[in-house]
Amino acid sequence: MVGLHAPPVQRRVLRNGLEVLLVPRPASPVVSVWVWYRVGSKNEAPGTTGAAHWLEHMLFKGSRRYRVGAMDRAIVEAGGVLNAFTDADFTAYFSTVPRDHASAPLDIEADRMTGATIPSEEIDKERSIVLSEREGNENYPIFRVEEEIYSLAFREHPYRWDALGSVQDIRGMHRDSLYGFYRKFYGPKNATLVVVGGFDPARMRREVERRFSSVHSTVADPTLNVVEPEQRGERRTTLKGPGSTPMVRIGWKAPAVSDPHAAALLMLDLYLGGENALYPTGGFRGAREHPTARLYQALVDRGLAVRAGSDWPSRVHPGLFSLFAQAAPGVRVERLEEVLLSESERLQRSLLTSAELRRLKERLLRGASLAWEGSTRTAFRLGFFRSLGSLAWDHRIFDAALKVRPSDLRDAARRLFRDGARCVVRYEVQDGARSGGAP
Amino acid sequence: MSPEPTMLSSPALELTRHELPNGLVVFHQRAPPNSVTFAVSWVGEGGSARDPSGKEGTATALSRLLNAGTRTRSKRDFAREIDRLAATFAARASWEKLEIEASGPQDAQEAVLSLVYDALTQPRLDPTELRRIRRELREALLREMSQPDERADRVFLEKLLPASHPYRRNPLGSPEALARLTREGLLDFHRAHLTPRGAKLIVTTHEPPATLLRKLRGTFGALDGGPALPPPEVPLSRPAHRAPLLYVSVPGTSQVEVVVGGTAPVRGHPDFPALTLANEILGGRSVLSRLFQIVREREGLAYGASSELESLAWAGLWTADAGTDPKHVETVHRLLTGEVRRLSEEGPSPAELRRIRESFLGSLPLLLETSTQAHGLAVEVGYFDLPLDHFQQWPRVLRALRPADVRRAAREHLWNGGAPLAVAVGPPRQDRPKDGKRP
Repeated sequence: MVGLHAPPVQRRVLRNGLEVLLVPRPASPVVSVWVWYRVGSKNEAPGTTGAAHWLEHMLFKGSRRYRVGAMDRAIVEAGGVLNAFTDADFTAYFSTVPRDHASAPLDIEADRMTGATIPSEEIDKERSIVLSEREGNENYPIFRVEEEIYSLAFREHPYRWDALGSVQDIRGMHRDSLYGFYRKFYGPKNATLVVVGGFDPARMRREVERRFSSVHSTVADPTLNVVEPEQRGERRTTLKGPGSTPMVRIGWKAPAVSDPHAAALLMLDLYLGGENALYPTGGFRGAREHPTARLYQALVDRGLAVRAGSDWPSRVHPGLFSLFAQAAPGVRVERLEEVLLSESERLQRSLLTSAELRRLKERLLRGASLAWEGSTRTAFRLGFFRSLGSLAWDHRIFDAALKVRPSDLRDAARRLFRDGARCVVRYEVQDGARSGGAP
Repeated sequence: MSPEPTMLSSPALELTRHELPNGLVVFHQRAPPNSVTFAVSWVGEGGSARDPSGKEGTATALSRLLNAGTRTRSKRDFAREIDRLAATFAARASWEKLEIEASGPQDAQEAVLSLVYDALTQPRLDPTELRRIRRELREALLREMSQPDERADRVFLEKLLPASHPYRRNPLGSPEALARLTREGLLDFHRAHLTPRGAKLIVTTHEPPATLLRKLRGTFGALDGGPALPPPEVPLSRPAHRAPLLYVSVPGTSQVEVVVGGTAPVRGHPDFPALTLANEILGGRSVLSRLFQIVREREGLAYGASSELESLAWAGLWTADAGTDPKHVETVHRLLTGEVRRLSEEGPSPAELRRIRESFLGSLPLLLETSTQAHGLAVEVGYFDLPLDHFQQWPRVLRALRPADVRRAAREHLWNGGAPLAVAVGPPRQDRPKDGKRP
């Protein structure tokens, strides 16, 4: 029971280059269908930031066989859910439907892979919706801080902008940019289709072949060769805005998920913050509390912060490893920064005890046993690792994490937490931000 | 035409009810066949409506303390055990109830049940932890003032409900009330409210009912029953809807959160099924709903627009909301209110009713794949004392409803004699530039 028990995956590549991953689960009442494009905001150019995300919206706005709104109706009227999301490295479209309705999402995904119409009038209507999505995020200080730290840390690499794009670029976006992006990157060669759930595998293979084998397009390789220049010296900034209490986020340039040291970073993230998105580990659901995590103990338990954690999002290219904390009422942000930095220094000097490391591994091991429950989660996990680079990386990182030694973590901390490669964003609550009232 | 859903008679909804001698009612639900997890919920008295006068925040503080260790396990040891088991654990208080929900791998069931039992019966209530929780609740109160969505919800309740209404008091308390919380006061509250009589223990598991009950009799079944508390008095809400849109400004925010709504029938009310469909038509059925189609798709005024009918036992609530640019507040308010009025005057067409109803029913199989998903349905049946075959009967009940039934429910409960209460929270209106562009 304990361990990372990935399900057997039936993999094949169609003649047009589309990679297909099938995981049949005969008893499941649902089927989850995902198409992952290895294209995201990293493939945008300055001036058209947000194009990948906006395009994702437009793929719901009609295609050769589906008029505007027809895709939504086909899935939701059958009781299913559909959605999509855009990341820096990939864009994913998914539907989970009752098992009797699996052909609807397959047909939609095949049709919009190259047949999206992207009508001009729909682009104009969508502009205010994309702006609204961004403005809704801006209401949260945590979004402002995250956007700021990436723009501070990266000067060349497209990770420097958020996938939502800048307000200016959203206002100025034209159909040519969106359609051009679509024609350039969307096609079977840049995509992986993942289907998990209650279906007959032979029938599903035929269905996939029938719907997708005729989809063709010539696409550009989305691989990016931009290398972020080495950072020479600390960068910092302070934001002011609405909020409850101040917060701080400190980021360091960190290796990509393909790096041989990825497992050590995963374990550092688990040790410091208590969770990592790659490996669900249970915990106090909804409470975002991690009493066993080092930063929680150093900041929350000591009355300095109301929340504290770490973040190492898995990236195709070198990204950021960051530590963050939000102050308890009355605590100054400088104090939080001191403690976060002292924790990063402590990890470079001293070794985790064998008991600490054992508990960390035990947690990882137990949590992994639940990683594949549910068709939607399983399909997400397969597509996610494939889009990052390889399905095999899941087991590779996991197995390596179980072999990590205390000295590996100390060495990883020494490579990571370098003073000269640090970015700091402080967030202060602006005067009067809580005192508003009715006019 | 979509096939009618067939999964509602699935073994995933095999639910049985057992009353123990101490008054505790146990619901056993068979876990879905694919699932490798089990889930348990204790649902009982101890919600924030029972907070002692002047000590508002008691129930919330107590529920958070249940996450923070037992007599035999410190907070850290408790969390380590949860980590070790790969379990999830969450204790939380709402207006009506205090709930402990836990889940984990099926083979950890006994250990997780033991943790729930210990947390419920022997909470540590450490004074240091109480101080931490006070800090966190003070920060949450500040956040409620500065975050448009949270503030809109709070202002909405304060304007809608009379002072003595059980949902009017803030579950977070107030700075003054939080200062009055003591360990002794929490112990008294614990003794008075966290008792088996009237409480429900709901377990979704692969273990047969007889085996489960045998184990429970020696633990949860051996607790003293305690008193049965009558529901609190619920005063009639005054018709607050005649007031104009109330605008509350929070400097520095980007988007305005607009909320309209009012009181509604309780979960067990005969009109609840018709009102459920009215809500799905209005804004509950995601992309198919009127609000999504009109506010987002047709007018392009908001990223999201939806409505919600809350399932509650003592009194009901419904809301519709959208986040929009400050210059569109009046338009969005008019559209939200206008659709409520149109639904209450004209009702749905037979085709619209059928489309929404079948989508709603068709989505139930999506909740039957894993234990934690199916568990939510069992908790709803258990908490509201619904018939054990409630979800099997749901299609018959909903399909018997006609457009006139939905129109009447909307007229009586959503429109209720006048436009619903409306609150908007966002940037100060004088911040709006004359040309309508963002600063």
